[in-house]
Amino acid sequence: MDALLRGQKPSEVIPFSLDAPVLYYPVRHHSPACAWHLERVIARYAPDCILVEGPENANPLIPVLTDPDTKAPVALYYAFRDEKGLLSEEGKGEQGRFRCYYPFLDHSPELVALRAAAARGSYAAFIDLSYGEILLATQAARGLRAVGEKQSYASDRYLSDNQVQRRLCEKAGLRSFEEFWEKYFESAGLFLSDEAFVRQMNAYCLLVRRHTPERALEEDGCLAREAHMAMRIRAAAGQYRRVLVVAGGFHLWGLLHPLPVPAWDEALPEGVQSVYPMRYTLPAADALSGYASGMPSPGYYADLWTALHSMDPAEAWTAVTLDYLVKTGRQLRREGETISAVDERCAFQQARGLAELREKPSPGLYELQDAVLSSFVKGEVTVSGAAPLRVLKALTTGKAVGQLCDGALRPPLVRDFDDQCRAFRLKRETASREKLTLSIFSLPRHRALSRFLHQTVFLDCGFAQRQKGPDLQRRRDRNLIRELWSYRWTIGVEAALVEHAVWGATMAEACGTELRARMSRAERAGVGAGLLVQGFLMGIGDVADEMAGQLEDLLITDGDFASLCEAFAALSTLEEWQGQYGEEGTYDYPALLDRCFGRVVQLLPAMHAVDDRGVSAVQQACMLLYQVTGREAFAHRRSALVDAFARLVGWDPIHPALHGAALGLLYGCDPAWKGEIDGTIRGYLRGTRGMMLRSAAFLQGLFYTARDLLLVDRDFLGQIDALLSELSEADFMDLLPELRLAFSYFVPMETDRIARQAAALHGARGRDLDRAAVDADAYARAEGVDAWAAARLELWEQKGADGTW
Amino acid sequence: MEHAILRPQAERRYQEELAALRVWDQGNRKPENWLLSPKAVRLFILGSSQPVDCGGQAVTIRKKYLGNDALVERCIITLAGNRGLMLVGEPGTAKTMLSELLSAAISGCSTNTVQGTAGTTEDMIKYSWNYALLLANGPSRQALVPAPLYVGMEKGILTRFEEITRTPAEVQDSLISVLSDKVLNSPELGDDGLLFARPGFNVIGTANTRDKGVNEMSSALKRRFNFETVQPVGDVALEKQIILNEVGALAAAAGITQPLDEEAAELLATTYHELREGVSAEGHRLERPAAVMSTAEAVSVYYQTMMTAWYYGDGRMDAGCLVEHLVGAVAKESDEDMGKIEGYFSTAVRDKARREGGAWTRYYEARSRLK
Repeated sequence: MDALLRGQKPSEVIPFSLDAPVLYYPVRHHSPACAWHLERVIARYAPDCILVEGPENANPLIPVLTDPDTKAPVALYYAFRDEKGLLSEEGKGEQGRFRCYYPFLDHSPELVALRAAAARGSYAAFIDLSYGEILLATQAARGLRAVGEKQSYASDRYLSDNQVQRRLCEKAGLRSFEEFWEKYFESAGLFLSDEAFVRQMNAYCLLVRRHTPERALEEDGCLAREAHMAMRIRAAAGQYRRVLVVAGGFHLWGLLHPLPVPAWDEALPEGVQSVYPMRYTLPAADALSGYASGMPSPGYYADLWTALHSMDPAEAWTAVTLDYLVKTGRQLRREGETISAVDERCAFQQARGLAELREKPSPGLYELQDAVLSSFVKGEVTVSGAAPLRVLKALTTGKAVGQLCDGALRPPLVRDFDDQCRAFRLKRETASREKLTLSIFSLPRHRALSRFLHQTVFLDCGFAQRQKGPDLQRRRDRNLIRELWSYRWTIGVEAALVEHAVWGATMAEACGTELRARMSRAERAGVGAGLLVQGFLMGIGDVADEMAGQLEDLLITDGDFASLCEAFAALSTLEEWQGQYGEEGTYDYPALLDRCFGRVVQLLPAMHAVDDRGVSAVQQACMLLYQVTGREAFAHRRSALVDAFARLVGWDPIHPALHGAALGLLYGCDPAWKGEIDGTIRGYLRGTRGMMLRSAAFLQGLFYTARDLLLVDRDFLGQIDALLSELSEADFMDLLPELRLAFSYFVPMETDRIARQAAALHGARGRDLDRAAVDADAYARAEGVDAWAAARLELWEQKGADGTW
Repeated sequence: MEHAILRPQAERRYQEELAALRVWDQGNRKPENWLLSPKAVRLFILGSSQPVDCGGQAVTIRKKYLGNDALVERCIITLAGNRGLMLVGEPGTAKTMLSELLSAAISGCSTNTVQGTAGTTEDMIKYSWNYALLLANGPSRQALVPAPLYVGMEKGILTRFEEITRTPAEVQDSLISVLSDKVLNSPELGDDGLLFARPGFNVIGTANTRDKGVNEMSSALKRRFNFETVQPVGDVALEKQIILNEVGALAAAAGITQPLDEEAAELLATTYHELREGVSAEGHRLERPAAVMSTAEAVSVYYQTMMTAWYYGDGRMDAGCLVEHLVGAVAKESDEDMGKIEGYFSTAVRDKARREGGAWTRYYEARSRLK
């Protein structure tokens, strides 16, 4: 670095004088060394105004960040809704929503500055453009508008991702920018005076800036931001005596030499952007986690920061490194690895030796990693053999979760979520997934918790996941009586809640608003009824009143039979399960089901022309209609259903599978239909060849709804048998595949019974059924062919070997 | 007159650099009996981009080990401590070279070596006897023939143990007490039989993961070593450079004056790198051959091609000949490997030939030699 410093022109060096009215302090996000020197500089400079780089629409939240009850890591969550399409191509739909995090750790210089200002009673403010304005100043797919889920305001891409840095690492024989940074700034930097440290920071940042093209700065919105910050600094300088500016080292040159970038002449509309404080986690703050925010291994540096306040820097580094070696060893022993105290001692020696070889004052993160690799990994480093490195990584990342003070401006929805988590004793401080088993039908408390978890799923928080249990939406596993859930709190949960904060103050309210909104968008009765089921599971019955009106409209306007059937199935489920879920009487689902029944029955006869693809759904619908009229409350509807089925079977042409199913159900309602069934089967089998080929489909439909017919009525079997016997062998073979399908509705025992009865009709006994599948003649013929082929092969091999073939 | 040596040992090959570094090293802290300080050892192995000032004389220290700098640092520090160093990895990843360089720099002697084989016995590691003297005078130090471990302990220098996992487990385990207590007992010598290791003694083992793995080493012995996994070179440009450096040295020793063909080195480096990784630069998924695809193998293929051109041709390397030697190097383990190489030519090489032309086209056209 010294060589670098000598290369700087004096005019480019940023002045750093404690006598100046405005003092510029360069930082890297989450750098303990920057924060450590900053604490000293603030004490020496005694500013009456501290300006910090950060979107200024978060200024009202500064008291929350500096409150003694607020525990880092915390973050500011910025959201921008581009409803007016200001960001042109992305201004539509989902893509028009932008969000980013600005995380703060205890050792973030920005948080140290804000806390110091609060402690001193100095004025403190963020000075960057608001988040929305930054987006507007940034070109598409650049800077904060870069494509990617996780956007962090505290990105270090300028400092770490450039050619200068790559060449420096290459020359210094270091593996990465982070190792370079730790060696020269975090480790050696602590032994420098404040002035020398700042000079070194400025020298590096200037070098990087000089190698960053101006165009990139413009495209990233960097120049517009710097011009705005410079304006705020000028205004503060006119008002306060001693102004301390805490900004990214990369920007200082731009703050001192702002370009005349056009100011924003158009104010952003109200309500398009919002900012909230939120709890954050150390894993999310890890630079390697994909947020690109600050330094890796935040847990390690957080401990270093604490140690720096109780011992001198060299001791602090050594103590923290030793502490992590011991913790890693202990964790490995817990996992069954044989790591002894001797291993730990060797690792510590290794770390110290490496620090000396690398000319570092004391071992740091990279010596710690190397020591663990050398001394704890026994054998080849492979995925399976690298447990020590995995454990160390987890430990140095840390797992602390922050906390916000009570009065924090947190959306009521987030507070409600927290309250409910507390009430249900759900853990929010662990990084591992927790499991819950809920007896939803027997314990009201479990049912309430299940509703809450369903609400989090509905709001797409990524908090909970139901792994097992009755699934009313898909109508599966309805025999289960317990729900098995897993859940885990992550920062994404809070982010999702903040996004939904405008929908309501409580989880139920937010879900209700969203449910109504989705219902108003629904175009199909099936979708509408599905939403009603979701509302039912979330226990927000009061919404059902409003939604039911809309659903009734959908039932009338929707002419799609499949969608109506879906709605019918959903409503039937609700009607059926209302009692079990303790919702009896909360809403008149039977009335709604009755209306839906009317619509389905009305459309049913028109379904005679359904094609092969849709027939199974119509069969299922017919079956469900029949089952529902079997319930006491709907018994009066049976006659209407019989009429509808009768009209359906009266149609010609009709899909044979539907024909069979409807006749089967009619037989279920009234055995007098048996004669009609017999006649129809005869008609199919004795009809023209085309009709004969459809007889199997008819039987399939018939057996789907009335398979008992074949089991209880021996004559029926005889009739079918006689009809099948009349077929020629060729016709029978054509029919066989579909006949097999038709008989697949019977369980093996039933198939066996039918087969024996059928065999008896032909004078065969049960055991004759077990005969070989191939007759003796065919077998003899095949054996002859086999012997002939073997002989030819042998001949070929002999001739081939002689080369005379 | 001194006879030419086919392959001079490291301390002789780099004697000027080592001598200069001893001058440069004044004032640096070094472990007892080490000829160079850890810093100078690192400089010797990793080299420096600028010539270093050795007593007023500027000496260029070449980079001898291309790869992971941090690994070299860890190795040096391990050897300064009280645990042995075990280098493990695929064959041909320069483990032996690194072990030689470390021994040459630290002890000035890289030949104090046990070559591990299935037939290695304990007396080849510790000591044996001159039976004529033994019978004449009874057990005495004069009659004792020291083996590398004994020599290392007695002189305070490094003992290298090549392919340690090839030796039977009970022979490997004879190292345990020496590594922990640093004392070797020769009961035949009675009270004079205790040999206490002098400072500077340590053991560098190498083990390749293709043969019997280190898993079969006893955990007692494992505990007495720090393990370092040497990975194959991950960068094609670096691999090409290694091929050129190594072949250059071999050619110079053999008196071949033909200039090196950089394009051929690139073809080989790319082929070996892509087949080892199982994916080409263009994204073709490739089947990995069972044969060892190490940089050392690539060097050997290149050198053979070069010699063929030198002795039978006009000295210029021919793509067809390169492919033939490649076949010779790969078709060792199984016939399936040849299919994999053909697959590589018909996908990745074909596309490179279409896109880049030149040497890749000649290489692709020589695919008919893949038999």
